[in-house]
Amino acid sequence: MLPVLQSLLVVVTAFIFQAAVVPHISIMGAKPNVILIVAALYGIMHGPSAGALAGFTGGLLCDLLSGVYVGLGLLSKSLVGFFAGLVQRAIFVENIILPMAAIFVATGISELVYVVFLFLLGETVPLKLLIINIILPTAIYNALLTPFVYATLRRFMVAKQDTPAIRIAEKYN
Amino acid sequence: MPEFFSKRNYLIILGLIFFSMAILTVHFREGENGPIHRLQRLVMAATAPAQMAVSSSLQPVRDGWNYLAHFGDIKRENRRLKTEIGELRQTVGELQSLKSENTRLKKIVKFKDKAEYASVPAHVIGKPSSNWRSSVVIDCGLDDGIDRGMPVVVGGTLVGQVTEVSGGAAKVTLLNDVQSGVSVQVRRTSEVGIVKGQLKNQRLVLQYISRDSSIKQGDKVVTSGLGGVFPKGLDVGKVLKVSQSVYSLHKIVEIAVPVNFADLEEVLVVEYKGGFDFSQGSR
Repeated sequence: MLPVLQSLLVVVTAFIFQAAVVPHISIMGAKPNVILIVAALYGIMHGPSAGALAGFTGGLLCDLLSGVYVGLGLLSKSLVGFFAGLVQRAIFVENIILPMAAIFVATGISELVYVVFLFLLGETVPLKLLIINIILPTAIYNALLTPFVYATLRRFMVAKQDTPAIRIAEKYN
Repeated sequence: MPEFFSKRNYLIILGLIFFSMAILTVHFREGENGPIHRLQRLVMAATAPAQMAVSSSLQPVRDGWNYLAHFGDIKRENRRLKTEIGELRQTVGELQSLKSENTRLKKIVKFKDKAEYASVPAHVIGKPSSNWRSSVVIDCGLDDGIDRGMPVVVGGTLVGQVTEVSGGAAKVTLLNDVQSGVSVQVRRTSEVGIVKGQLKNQRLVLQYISRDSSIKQGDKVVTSGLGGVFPKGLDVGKVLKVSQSVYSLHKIVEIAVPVNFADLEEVLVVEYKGGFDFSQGSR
């Protein structure tokens, strides 16, 4: 199957999982963001453009389903995918701790980007409440869910992580 | 590190920001029949079957878990309800005689009755998939007479409003969503304020209550009917906490809602068409 089509299928499946299953697996009100994890993992494995595109498609679908502000989730998720792609050289996905830490940080940044734009649009919710009730629990939940999403993603993907260092290593093997 | 600051990366980031702002602007400015709103309804209708399938397949597990987890509570509640039934039967008898007296007196003074509205029962098939929005998807839509703007209640308490509707499903934005804003009245003092959501479960914030107000814990809060968004007198909750900031002209009032927004399973959609979206009133 074509990589683009395959990636689209992965993102759409992640979106259906987010829409139908995630609401039922919330812990103390915190729901993981599978689309964000997928976008970040795509970025880490295939570079900034793939990460941004995965975040863009998944974010747009999520915004269309639940967002009043269609475009905000899209922005935060595609930025996460893009920046995850920029740091791909530093993160080797086979050591799962690093992607987990990266996704913890990425979730925090993504949610803060969302909060900044919410404030710019006039929504006033106390920041402390948002950090304690939403941002921190979601970041922890996303980080814990990363190994499972990665294991599932790997089954569907044709290519494995592709970085210049890996290409050089493969050349000399 | 220099890769971070390359021209190409700057262009991609700027492009993403520009594109998302463009979509946001188009979504805000277009009407209900604009392309993005139509796409939203399409996505909602397309995901509704998956949400319903997962929701109904998990129902037995949820029921079993609730039964085991709350077995002691259920026994206690059963005892309490039996006592309450006895008391209520007595009250019903008294109320029936009062009702007939009331009807008789109304006829004498030619008092016009408050309009009553029909309602449509619906099952919740989809719960919020994002931490930032509080809304549910129900299994009734335009085909069942549901329309945008209709209030949604649970056990007589207002829980939200229909904000998107397709043929067989509708999205209900709940009161604890940050975009919600409902004009309410404190029943005891008759003061009017706006109840807003802060994504807290079973808690809302009542704004614009004067610092001189005598509002206190336990006061009942109902919809004011102002603006015609909701019918007057729908139960919203009770005052839980009243505090006062030195610099604010208004009191900070927290409202406790008797309904758990996270556990909604069945709701009633009241066939009242106010013609306004409550999220528009909050901005």
